[in-house]
Amino acid sequence: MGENVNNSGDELLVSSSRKSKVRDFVFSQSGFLIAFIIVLSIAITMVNRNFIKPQNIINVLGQISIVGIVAVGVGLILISGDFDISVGSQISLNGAVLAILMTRTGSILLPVIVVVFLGAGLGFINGVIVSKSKCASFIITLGTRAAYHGLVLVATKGRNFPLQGMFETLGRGKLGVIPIPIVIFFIVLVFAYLLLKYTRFGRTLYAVGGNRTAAYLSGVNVDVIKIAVYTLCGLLVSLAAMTLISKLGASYPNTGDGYELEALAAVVVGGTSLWGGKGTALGLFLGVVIFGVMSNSLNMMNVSPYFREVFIGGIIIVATILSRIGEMRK
Amino acid sequence: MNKLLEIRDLNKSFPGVQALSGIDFDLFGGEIHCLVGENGAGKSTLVEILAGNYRPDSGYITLEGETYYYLSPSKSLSIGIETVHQEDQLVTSVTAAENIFMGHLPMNRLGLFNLKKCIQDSQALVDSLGLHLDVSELVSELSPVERKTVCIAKALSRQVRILILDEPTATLGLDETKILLDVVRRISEQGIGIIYISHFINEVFDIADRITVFKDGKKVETHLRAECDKEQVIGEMVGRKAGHIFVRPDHAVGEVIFEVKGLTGGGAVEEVSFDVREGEIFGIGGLVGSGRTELARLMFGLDRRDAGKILYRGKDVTPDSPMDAIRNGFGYLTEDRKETGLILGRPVKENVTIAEMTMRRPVFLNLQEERRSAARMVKSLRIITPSLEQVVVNLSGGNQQKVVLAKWMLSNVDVIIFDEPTIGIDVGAKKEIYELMNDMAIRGKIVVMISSDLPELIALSDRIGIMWRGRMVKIIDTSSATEESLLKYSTGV
Repeated sequence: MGENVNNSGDELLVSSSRKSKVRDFVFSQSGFLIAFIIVLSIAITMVNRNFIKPQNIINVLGQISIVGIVAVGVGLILISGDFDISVGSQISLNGAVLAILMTRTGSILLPVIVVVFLGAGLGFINGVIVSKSKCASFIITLGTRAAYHGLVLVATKGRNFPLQGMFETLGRGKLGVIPIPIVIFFIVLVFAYLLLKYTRFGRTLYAVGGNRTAAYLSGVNVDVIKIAVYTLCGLLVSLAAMTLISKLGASYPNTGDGYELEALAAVVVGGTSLWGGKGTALGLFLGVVIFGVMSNSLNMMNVSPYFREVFIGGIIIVATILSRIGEMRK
Repeated sequence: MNKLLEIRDLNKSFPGVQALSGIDFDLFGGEIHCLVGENGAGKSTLVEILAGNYRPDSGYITLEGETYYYLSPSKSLSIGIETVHQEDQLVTSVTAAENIFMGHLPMNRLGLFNLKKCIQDSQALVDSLGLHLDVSELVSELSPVERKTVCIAKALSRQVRILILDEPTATLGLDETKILLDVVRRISEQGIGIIYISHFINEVFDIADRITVFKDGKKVETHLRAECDKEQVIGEMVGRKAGHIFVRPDHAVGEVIFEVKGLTGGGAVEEVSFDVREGEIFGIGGLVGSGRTELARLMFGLDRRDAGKILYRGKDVTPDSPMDAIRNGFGYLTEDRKETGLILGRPVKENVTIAEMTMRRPVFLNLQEERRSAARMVKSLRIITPSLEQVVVNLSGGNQQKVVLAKWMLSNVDVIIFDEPTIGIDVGAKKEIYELMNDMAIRGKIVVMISSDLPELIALSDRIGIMWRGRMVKIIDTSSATEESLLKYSTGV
């Protein structure tokens, strides 16, 4: 409860000294995650020296960058107190439309523009239904997940669309030694960081996720915020889809399968509350990194890749339980 | 008449409160014994003890010769005590009949549910109460009085000797109340003892055989209805209070600058009109459920408005949404700050600045300016918090309320509506909140305060409007108001 602290306003302004900031950070969830990543990395390095080599670290980051972009979108929605589990289907649909248009028209710019609008549109549809119906977003997006996936099958008739060498830079190019997907991921992270910390929109996401009614009564247009955050997520997903298709060199009807769960798991592991109102860009990054490191270490220890899904499922359950315990302790 | 229930010297305390002290209470078979008292007088505590939900600290309960020092919920049921709570606990998606026999549904020989018998038996039960109701209807289709009757029939479907009715008419209209009172009379004729709790004094005098008045956890008096009058009972409910903790200093009152005209809507407010003069605090009294909170919600644009408007300094400021209301200079402290006032998991700083931020609509935040504003409010309202980053869930009730107040003061509202501003707040913080309200009024803000706390209402308000069944039935000048007169109008006497 409120400690009896003699506070003048001026003291409050300087009250969080550097020292206490450091202490707060070490004991925060992000601090814990960093410690965990360090311990895990040391343990894996002792088993296999190759883990710590720069090339492997770039590999790990490369593997997580696309799911990472999606996780930022899903994370922003979760901070506002809602879910989007249709992102996997959105990737497949964006990817299919991109590949079909590219192979048909031979142009790159037009399909990219179309997919940017398509991505925003798919998110917008989710946002409108969720905000106006006031139904559980988990179920609504379970519905749009199926619907969007159905549209992929309608558009592709189940076929694959190889790009035959077109549009390779985004997914396979490098900036110096750094693959472009990693660069995009970091740009997206910085964007999310600035958005959450320095904009009214970001602040409002926390407010709506923390207490929707109180935010509404404080003048926040909750529906507009919801629609905006779903649309933003849709945009990020279209970016991830383009990067992924470029990297794979083809679109498959099931390109995006599993991305919704991996992204959600990474977001929750990164300390974003399942009940909304809590989460940071750094946490999103660390959650994704933990996934990358663990999955990389499974490879290095020669665990069958078939175990990957078991492992992801386990992580989601454990992270959810830990998060619940955290909520209850309050 | 045979004595059913005898309670002697019952005591019950909760941390910091003596909820019941030395209660004696009797109930005869076939008697309707009304229990009256203000909020917090101890009525509910007694009900919970009889229902077996609370364990008394000392004293005993005798039911037809058997003495108990405490009851468990199952014991209470097995000796024939049934409670009908204010909020009904019916399953709305099944028939009235199934609700009535819920928990002991009639079975056929195969051990399967026998719907036919269930409907027959419950229909007979409902008919015996003199109510025309088809028990095969779904509960969701029933009117409020029918639902209440189903609750009562449900209680009667077991072997009941004592029936406790807690505010059974709170949600009913006048005609429906009459129907329900007839039902209650019929039950008492079967020899069942009835403990009837109500805020509505007229109704109590209509139905009671005896009336017991509670006040601050003690029994004031038990009267035979024929031997007392309403004034006397209301006087006993209010009692003599200790001196007010706050006296508003003398202040000038100017022109009318705020007018509410014929406000109707939200399904609960009808043609409410009042005005507020510069410097005044306008109080709104009335019972819970009288439409007080609904009036506040309507004024803040939260519920659908059917008619009426609000003028501030001659300008139409009637809001259609909270966004509208805030733009037009309204602020609203809700009665439940944790549920609807605060974002508990977020820092003090963000809670203080949110309304100002949504009103100003900047794209980018100026974090330094924000800290300065928050620090200024924390300082001027003397909010006790270790830092601006502290999440508000960790603050005390009084400091939380000050954070909500700071939110509206920072957004520089013209009109501020307080709904139960001091609920769950300690005395020291109460006084500070009163001072802040007084300051706001003196500085020309329109302060409208809803409160159940009569001394508070009288101490702060210049005038008090009383709500009763959705209407503002009376506006009283505080100089001539007493707790007795307020209670009289609130209960429709």
